[in-house]
Amino acid sequence: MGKAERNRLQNAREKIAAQQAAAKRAETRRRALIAGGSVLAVLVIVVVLVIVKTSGGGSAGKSSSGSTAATASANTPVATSVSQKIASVPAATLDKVGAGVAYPAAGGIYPNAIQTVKSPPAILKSNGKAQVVYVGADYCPYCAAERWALTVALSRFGTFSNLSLIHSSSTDVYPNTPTLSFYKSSYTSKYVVFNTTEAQTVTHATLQPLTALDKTLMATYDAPPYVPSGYNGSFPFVDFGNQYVIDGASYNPQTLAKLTWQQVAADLSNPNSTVAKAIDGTANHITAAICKITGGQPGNVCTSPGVTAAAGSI
Amino acid sequence: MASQKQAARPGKPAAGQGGGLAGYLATHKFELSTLLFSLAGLGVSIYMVIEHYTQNAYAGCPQNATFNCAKVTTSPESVILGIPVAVLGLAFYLFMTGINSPWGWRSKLPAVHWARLASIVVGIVFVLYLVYAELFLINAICVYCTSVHIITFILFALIVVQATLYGVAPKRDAA
Repeated sequence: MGKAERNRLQNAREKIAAQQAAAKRAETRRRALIAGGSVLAVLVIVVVLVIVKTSGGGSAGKSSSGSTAATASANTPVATSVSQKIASVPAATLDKVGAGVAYPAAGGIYPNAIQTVKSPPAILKSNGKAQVVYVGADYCPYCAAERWALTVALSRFGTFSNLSLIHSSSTDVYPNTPTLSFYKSSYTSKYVVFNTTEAQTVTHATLQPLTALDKTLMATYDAPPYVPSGYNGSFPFVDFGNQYVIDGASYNPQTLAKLTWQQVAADLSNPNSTVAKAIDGTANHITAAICKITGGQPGNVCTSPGVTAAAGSI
Repeated sequence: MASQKQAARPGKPAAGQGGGLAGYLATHKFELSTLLFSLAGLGVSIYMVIEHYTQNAYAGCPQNATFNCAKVTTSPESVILGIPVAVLGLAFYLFMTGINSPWGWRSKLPAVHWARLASIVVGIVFVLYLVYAELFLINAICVYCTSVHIITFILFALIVVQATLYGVAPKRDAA
């Protein structure tokens, strides 16, 4: 083989080697793209989900009563600042308010706001947990007052979500009382099940039909002797495991007159405010009733000074 | 006589480093990483299964409008086809720990390596569903669930990168 021939062969080999190296580099780049692209795709999906959520899209609230509504109230989703204040009323404030003040003092709690059921049956339960049943309506000013206290109390046993902010009817007594609505909200707790029915909107249109359980309980406990004759089926109605009931507001809704939701929420933490004495005091009574049906659980809540003080009156 | 060159395989033990499990792990840091993350996921999954069947009181989990472990783990979305998601997660991480062990990585069966890749892809798809469920259906985030999701994502990244760069069933050193 001559020198020229050897050079030609050498060049050919070098060319082939270069082509193979280039192909290998391209293949490596392709694989790196696939790997990086797959990982990036997952990250992008998660980021998109978070962005959509935080920009307010796609929130699926669940109605805790499970029934469908004919018309939706024009409710405003509760602001985080309000919901956080309701859910985190300092224990020290609740303890200082204790059983609250008696009516007719400003911020006073009506006597016998929580009534003990006479000759009670077994504790009403759902899936092994004590059950609390609420029936009210968005228009109702007494429900408007009671929902604040219920929410503060129940927040000590679990977590609400999708509460909304409304005002009670503008044409009823105590007009435009700022409040929350349980419509389309949900509640989760290790200790208690909370069923709610908001029967009517602010304008008295049908919202959520009463469930069979609502009707059964109200027929017995939202009737004499628990309410005066002729007041059967009044709102708000709250049944605590068939052991205790609330028929009506526990404090005067006038306490909340002309306040904004934010002002009410802020006052919850001030034990010297009229709002705290009314709402937190009522919440302590409600908490005491719930503690009775949960067997004193959670212990830190049920043995707190505020709840212990309120328990003496139920 | 042509010289015998060592094959350019990832993680081949350097001469003189010794054999055995310790030697393997010392020179196969990638495989070690997948094993460690699998064990971490297994640990969290075990804790979550215990809490699911007992108190549902997750230590250190904040409870507010955004973060609520109990709300997520007691939601209807926490059970799929009658099986708690916590149990599914435990089963997944038991499998991943086994398949990412040195014995799994050194297996000569291509099916083992393909099963690793397939299971982590299924796992990450499931994680994406769970993230969607937390954000849009349950409206709460579980810190422990999120830690498992992050671990799953890291494993996904490691295994997918390894599979695409070096092949799904790479040649490995003889056992």
